[in-house]
Amino acid sequence: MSEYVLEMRNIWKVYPNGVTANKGVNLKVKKGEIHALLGENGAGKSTLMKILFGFERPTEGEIYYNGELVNINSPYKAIELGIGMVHQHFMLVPSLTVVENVVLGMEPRKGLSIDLKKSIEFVENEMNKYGLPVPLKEKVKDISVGMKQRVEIIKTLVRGADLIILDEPTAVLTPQETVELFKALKNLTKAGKTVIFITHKLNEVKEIADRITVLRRGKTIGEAEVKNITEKDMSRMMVGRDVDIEIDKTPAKPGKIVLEAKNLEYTRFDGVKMLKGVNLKLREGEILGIAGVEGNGQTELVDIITGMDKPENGEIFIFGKNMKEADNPYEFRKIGMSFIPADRMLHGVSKEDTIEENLISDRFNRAPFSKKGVLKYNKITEFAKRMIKEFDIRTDGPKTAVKMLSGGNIQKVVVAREFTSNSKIIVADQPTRGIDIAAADFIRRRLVKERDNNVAVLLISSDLTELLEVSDRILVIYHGEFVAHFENIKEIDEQILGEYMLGIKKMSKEEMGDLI
Amino acid sequence: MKSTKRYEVYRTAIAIAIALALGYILILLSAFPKGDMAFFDKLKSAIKDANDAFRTFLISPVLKHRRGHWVFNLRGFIQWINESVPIMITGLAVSLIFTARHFNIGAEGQLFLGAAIATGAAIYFPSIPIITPIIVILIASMVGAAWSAIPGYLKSKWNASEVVTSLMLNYVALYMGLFIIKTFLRDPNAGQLVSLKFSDSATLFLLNDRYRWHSGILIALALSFALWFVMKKTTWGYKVRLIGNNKHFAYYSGINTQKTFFQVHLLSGAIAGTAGIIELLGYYGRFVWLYSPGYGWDGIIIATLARNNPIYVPVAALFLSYIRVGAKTMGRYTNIPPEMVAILQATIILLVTAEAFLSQMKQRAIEKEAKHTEEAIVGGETNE
Amino acid sequence: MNSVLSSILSWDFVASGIRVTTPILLAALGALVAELAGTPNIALEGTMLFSAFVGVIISGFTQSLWLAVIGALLTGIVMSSILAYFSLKLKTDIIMAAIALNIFASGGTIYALYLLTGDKGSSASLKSLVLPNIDIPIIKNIPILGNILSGHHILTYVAIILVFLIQYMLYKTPLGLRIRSVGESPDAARSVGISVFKTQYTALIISGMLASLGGIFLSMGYVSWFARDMTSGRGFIALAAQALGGTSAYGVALGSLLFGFSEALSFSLQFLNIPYEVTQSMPFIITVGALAFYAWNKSRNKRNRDI
Repeated sequence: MSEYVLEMRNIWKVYPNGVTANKGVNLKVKKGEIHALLGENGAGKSTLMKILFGFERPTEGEIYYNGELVNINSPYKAIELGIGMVHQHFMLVPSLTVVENVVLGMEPRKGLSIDLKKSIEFVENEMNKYGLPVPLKEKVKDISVGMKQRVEIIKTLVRGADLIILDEPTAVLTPQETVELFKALKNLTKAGKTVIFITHKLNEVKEIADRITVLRRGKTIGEAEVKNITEKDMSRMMVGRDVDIEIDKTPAKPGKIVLEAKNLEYTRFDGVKMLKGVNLKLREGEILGIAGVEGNGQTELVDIITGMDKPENGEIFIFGKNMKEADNPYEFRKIGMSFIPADRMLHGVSKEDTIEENLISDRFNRAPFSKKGVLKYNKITEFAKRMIKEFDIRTDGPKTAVKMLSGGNIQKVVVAREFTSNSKIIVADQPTRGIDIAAADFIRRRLVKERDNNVAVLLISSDLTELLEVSDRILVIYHGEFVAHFENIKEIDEQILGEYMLGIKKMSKEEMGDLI
Repeated sequence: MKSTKRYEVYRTAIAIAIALALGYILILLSAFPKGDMAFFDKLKSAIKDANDAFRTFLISPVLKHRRGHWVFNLRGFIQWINESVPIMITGLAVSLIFTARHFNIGAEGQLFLGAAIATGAAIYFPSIPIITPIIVILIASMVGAAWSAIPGYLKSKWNASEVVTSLMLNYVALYMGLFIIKTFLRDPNAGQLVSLKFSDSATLFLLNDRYRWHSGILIALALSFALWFVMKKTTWGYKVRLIGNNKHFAYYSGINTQKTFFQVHLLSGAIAGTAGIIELLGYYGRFVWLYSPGYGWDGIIIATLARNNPIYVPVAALFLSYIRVGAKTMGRYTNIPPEMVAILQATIILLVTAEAFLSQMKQRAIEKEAKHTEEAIVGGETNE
Repeated sequence: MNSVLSSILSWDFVASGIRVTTPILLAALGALVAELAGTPNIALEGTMLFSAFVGVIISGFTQSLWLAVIGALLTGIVMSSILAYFSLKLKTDIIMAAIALNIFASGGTIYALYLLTGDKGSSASLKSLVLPNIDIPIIKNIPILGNILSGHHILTYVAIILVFLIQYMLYKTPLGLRIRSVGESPDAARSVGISVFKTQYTALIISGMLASLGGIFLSMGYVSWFARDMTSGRGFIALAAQALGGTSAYGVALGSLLFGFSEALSFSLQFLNIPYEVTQSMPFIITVGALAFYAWNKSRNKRNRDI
């Protein structure tokens, strides 16, 4: 038997929209190692792992597991072989309890019913074995992101997984939670399990992985022992050139307050209080970053600030105007606000429509795009061609449907629209999530440029490196409240942010100052 | 993109071919003679009868057999065109509502109630040539819009399932319409429940008197073009397409989605409301229905076949009324119930809307194309 | 007025309410199972209609109640299988596929009726059987209680038992857990190796069989014939009953009772010289009213961006 527990050979994957995600990828993983699958967003890592887990069928290629050629045509088959996967977007049923989620599909029975008592004992047993405690009887929708991830790991373990795939597991975690996760992963390899770890964060690779395979644009660029390779080499393999992600940034020259939120409160449909009296002041010519573990009220805050939703209590002032009567994003856009939404496929674009139609969605009613209710398609196309050039959108032309574009290029369509509406305020919610480094870099630089043009930018991001690099001030949100305010970014680092994000520390009102 | 469109055409053609083949089998089954005969003889006789019947089914709307020759069948042709009118109009109404991805399937009730109420106007309104039919049609249109507004409001405002409410309202409209005719507008001298005759100037201009070819087809074609223009060329049509394709995006972009959805229900109802009265004004000259004529359901089939594009709606409507008229003529000669066509219609809907039907063929072509371009790029990269 | 009141307060009224509720309840339970699996079954109407037809035909030709019931259930399975195949495998929009099936059932029953009996309107020429009422021994002799509990149609008892069985199945068994998880989050179900297709298919089959029982109640419950389009919207009313009743079988039963009794009321009101058309449309108007109220109530605590 070969030393490799897993070999994937010449894997091809063409999606129905014609996008080729894998172009003859090869991957070899040794037993008991932590193997990092490294690559930019859009390099084909997730697709490759979905193929391994039976979520997607390869167009071509072979998979050898424990030396045998296997045909993994469904997750059921993968689980049977001992392969488990923790997905980037958690695969949990929100309204079911943790126990129900874990035993789903392998429920212990008593007669015809599910044996709930036995289920609890069983899961308790497993979680103690690996030192991963989870709240068994809580509903999944009520537990934290870090807990959800644990539930996912336990789900794979109770199904007897020997090879565990983790797709960008640290993307949603604080530095402290990441440490916990890495400890757990090391325990797993000690117990004889093999781990494949998808990431694009080089420091994490250095910290935890034994070997790496690098993918770029759907192809295997190379593999290496981590101890024999520098971060710089890894980054060059990933991107294909030397990258300089430092952004030259002059100190901000903030002006008057353009956006003010006073005492915002919001209760979610299920009764959970998501915002508990939030205050916020945003000035022109500055970038205000908001840090926080996902689900601590950021979504609700952004929704209220952009007019997507209304607060239960509290008020929003934009350029001094109370927005109480406005109950539609239209009013907010009209007064001069742009919004880059976190979920670009849901809110940012209409994928069935063409690029040009997506670019005019907020301005189709004005000249030169329409006259007396009739669209001027030649003007629209002309404008779209200009945007495609200026924002470097890689496409066949303005009449291409958005669904034919890659993630990074779709985000460029969103950004092109939002940056060209002459707004004085830009709310950017996770603007670089899931896109390639070049596109992300482009967007970050553009945000800074807008700031230099005296635009006010509110940046919400779970990428702490990005926040620290781009922001002029940072607020930390925890359980629906701001718990920290940093006006001097140079003095802080990710560790410090993490402590506040987890609620370990909290600033007093005085410490936070009067800009909040 | 081009290849995608090509597969849509293939899929439609194959769906129609399968439906027609099924039609032949159904005719064959009902052509089996009864009595003592060997199976083979029965089959032979059935095939012979079925072939005749199927031929009638396929060509009777345009040709008829006269003294050993095939000649143009003017009567069949006019029936074909006339019957396409109401379903062309409901097809437009449904294609509009489906473009917004709302399933208000109340066209049936809208046209029925619209026709019943407008019948009152057609009987009693002072006779002014040209003006009277326009007013009568407008009344029907407003009734349709109002009726459609109920599920539209409930859906766009409170998110009540428009499928269920519009279905319920179809029944209410049917009973209300019959009640109105029976109580206020009934012709006491007629043997069955029909309304009084419309006033003379209320009826539509006829293109052919003998077989009553009425000008409804011109109205329906004009409507098709107008709706096409609205949907493809105006900002309102753009909004409707956007809310249909991704309402969250439309809302985010600053479009008032609730209002637009509601307007779509109104306009769709306004169009559907005219479908019934136009046929009554053009052909029957009085209200004649004892139960729902089913044009609302036909509209769904037509909109589906036309891919919700108003410019294809006339083609789809003409196709459907063609097989409908063929089946009726066949029914007269052979006793086979014309309702058989419903089975063909169902087959066509199922196959035409089946996204994955023939998709393997499509996927293979896409894969081939993708790998091909990939190799070209690989070649380019070595040159770098 | 008094005569109406007395007719409403009579046992006949209760009995007629229960009689009208039965087929709606059976189909509404079917709507519930399908809805929870994430595959709303709009084809209940057509499934009921075709099953009503098949039941009568089989009982007419074989004079066997058992074969008729089995045949009707098989019809439900076949209809659901077609719906499942097109919507789950060929990715037809499930509402469109169901509309097609309803059209198919309406025309198909007429065609098949003609083919088998030579009639086009109803099966009156065929001698079909009727499913029995059941008297419960002992209880039937107890005053009042006997009236309430005994003497109903066999399918009424079946429907009542099924309310509890379906509730148990959905919330206590592995199948129910899987149906609910597939409906709420299909990817989560897939990730633990559950076949989404098989689970939804199973739910649709159950849904179809329940609709079949509702269908034969119409053609073999009290009458012994099939007439074209005899379901006249009951499958759709069942959908409304489910929409009102929410996610529990008990709620769905309450929703069905509302419609059953509003229809029974419409029979009673005919004595009051209220026109037939008005009383006939009452259950539908009440349904729309109830749905509107329910939706309004639900929308009050909804977020804007969910639109």
